[in-house]
Amino acid sequence: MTQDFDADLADLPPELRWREWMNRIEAVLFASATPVGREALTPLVGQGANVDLLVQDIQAELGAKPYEIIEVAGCWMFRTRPRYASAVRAAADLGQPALAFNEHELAVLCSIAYHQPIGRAGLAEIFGKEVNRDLIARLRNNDLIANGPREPRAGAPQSFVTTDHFLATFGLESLRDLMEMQAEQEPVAPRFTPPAASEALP
Amino acid sequence: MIPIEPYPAPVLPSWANPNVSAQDLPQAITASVATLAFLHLCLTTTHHQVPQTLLRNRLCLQAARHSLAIERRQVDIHTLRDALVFSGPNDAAGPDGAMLMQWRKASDVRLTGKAWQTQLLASLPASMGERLADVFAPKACDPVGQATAVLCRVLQANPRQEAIALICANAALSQALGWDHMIPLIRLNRTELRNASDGNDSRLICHHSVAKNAAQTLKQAHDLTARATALRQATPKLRTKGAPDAVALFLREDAVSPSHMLSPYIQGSDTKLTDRSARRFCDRLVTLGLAQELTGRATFRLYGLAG
Repeated sequence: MTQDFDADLADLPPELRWREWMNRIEAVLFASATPVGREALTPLVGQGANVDLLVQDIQAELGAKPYEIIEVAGCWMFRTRPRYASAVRAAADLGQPALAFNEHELAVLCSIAYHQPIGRAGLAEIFGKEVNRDLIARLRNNDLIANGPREPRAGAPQSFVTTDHFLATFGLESLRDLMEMQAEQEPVAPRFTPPAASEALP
Repeated sequence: MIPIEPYPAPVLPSWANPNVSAQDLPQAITASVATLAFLHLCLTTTHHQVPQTLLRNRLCLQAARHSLAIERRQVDIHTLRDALVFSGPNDAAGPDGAMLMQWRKASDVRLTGKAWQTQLLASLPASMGERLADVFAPKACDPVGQATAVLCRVLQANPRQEAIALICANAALSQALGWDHMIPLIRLNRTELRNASDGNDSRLICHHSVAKNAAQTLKQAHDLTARATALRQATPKLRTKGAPDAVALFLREDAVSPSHMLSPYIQGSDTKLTDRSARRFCDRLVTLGLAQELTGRATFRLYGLAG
């Protein structure tokens, strides 16, 4: 940030000042490809201005727009509203996006999300066969899973946990959303289908 | 075997016994105030020599398990201990380890300093700190009343942050009681928390919870103190090099892994210990009846003063 950036905007009347702060936050969220945290937004607005209220005000103005601001793991991002996913898909050739998973890959990712921390042995127990190392590596390279604590068993194998990027991709605010989805579907449905990854376009 | 001589088990007088079924606020207040007074004496009277950090860490373990259950993750304390001990510096802790770390970080904050509010908020996830800037503003003059006010403020603004709300309320309670660190005593279930976030009066359930958990904590503190005293007295007889440092670790942590926390260096000290002597040290504590093996596993064992 440049030295002469004016966060406080003391010379503007309160209403215009608030409007300018809203615009700044909206611009940053629009420009960013990844969710933006509070610590990045706070320096843009005057001291004592509540970033939450500003975001709420932007949110309120987006009422009729086909996109919205969602909160992911304590950060905010713009997202196309899910009902326009088909329109976006029809217009743009999404080709083979990095997140085009097949059913088995999604099932592995879901198992990790529900049972984390879980290692390859635990996954093998669920699926009745070894889970491919390349598949795990692909999920990790896409930043959907990360290494968790080591399992207290011979060889101390690494376990896997999901990341904040996983939450953003599937439009979840926290892991708890996933757990509550499951709780609502009691008895546990083994074939939980997450929202298709491609519907969560930024 | 070194016999552990328990102090006479603390028996609360019947008028102070928390009667949780009572729906009468003055009665609930009497029970919570009385049990808090007994607990206060137990924690602050030096001749009792309560291993404070150990007690806090154990209570954090239970509080974290409870918070995870609210978020629909049913885990036992063994899973939580494993998540904490076996996470490498570059590993993500996962939801269980992260929750436990959250409670422990908050309970490490000194509440007697001037900056306790800032430090406590700094221990929370960055996205929460700013949102909660004013939650500790004084509202009630009694400690439980103030904690209840904090709980309701956090929940009304963030209905889905139950764990953070419980941490803030418990910190406010311990601070108002003049204790230097958070001792978690308020533990509410999902329904009670939802009622609080809907703006219902939560004083009755908070007093009930404090009375019940303070009575339990009193028992735990007595039990740990007896075990800690036995270990302290036996230290000169433990002929391992570095025994005092290892004993100090056992008096802080409720689960000690010989290969992760005693070797190659005893955690929190410069004393070196080989893997083998670390394991032998733990085995000796078990033989002497001073510690227990907590996992029942043949490898990756964890040892602690009490199960």
